[in-house]
Amino acid sequence: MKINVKKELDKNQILLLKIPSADYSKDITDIVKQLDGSIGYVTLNKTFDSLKEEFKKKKINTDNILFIDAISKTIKNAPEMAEGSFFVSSPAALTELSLAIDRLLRHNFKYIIFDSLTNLMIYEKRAPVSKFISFITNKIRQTKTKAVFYALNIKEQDALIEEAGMFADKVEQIK
Amino acid sequence: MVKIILIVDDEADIRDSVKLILTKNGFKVETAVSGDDALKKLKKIKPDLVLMDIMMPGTPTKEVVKQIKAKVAYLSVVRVSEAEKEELLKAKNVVDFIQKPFDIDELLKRVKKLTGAK
Repeated sequence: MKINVKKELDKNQILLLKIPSADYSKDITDIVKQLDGSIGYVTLNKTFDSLKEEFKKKKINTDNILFIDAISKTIKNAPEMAEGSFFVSSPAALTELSLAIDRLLRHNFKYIIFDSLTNLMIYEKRAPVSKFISFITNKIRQTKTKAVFYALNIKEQDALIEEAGMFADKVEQIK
Repeated sequence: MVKIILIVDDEADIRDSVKLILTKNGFKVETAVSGDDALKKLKKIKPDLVLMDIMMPGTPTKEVVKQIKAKVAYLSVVRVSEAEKEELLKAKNVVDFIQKPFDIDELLKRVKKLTGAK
């Protein structure tokens, strides 16, 4: 991965990264490795446990990462929160998700990673998803938190990615 | 005897491509677009195996699976930990967990094994 995400976030508050599906797993761990300080990690496609497992394999310290997991509750009985994670009922629960992200912002996390915008489209139509992105990015702009939104390069979702790009300071294609 | 497979996935591409391959290999294939749709179809058919996407709009899959008597193999775009995978496979009718994107030949091999088809 050629992009220096940390450097980009020094210059921009909100970054949208378009990630090719083939390199996705590697890219997301490389990005977390680049960031130092507190991270709020919103996951819409992997469980908290699987991310912890993945990060541990890559020797990434998760002590400074607080996860918002919108997957675990859909596949198993998960509590409201556990050490290191809040659990949201599903990626379709946009209000619940907004409240959880708002909580991270109120605690001045240095970074928020949103993984990923394209997963939202499985459950919702474009209009509510765009409204959600607008709401979240406005909230972020009221704070000093830097945000990275991931979007998988999926042709069918070009319109959403383009729309989301308007709310970001910079859109980068990862090669 | 012809084995019956019910494919439950909200992605038309997956339903169509898996149906095509399984049909060509002698299976009778039915499809459903959601868990709720699958429950309706299961009132009329008795599949040998249900291939079910783990994340779909509507009733959560974990609730749908509880109401199904047939064998279920999850198709999952969601990444879970090894421990979570084992936990999911403890449900009495859940017999496999297939990670997306899957190799179609591998899927076929697993479907044949799970249904006892030759």
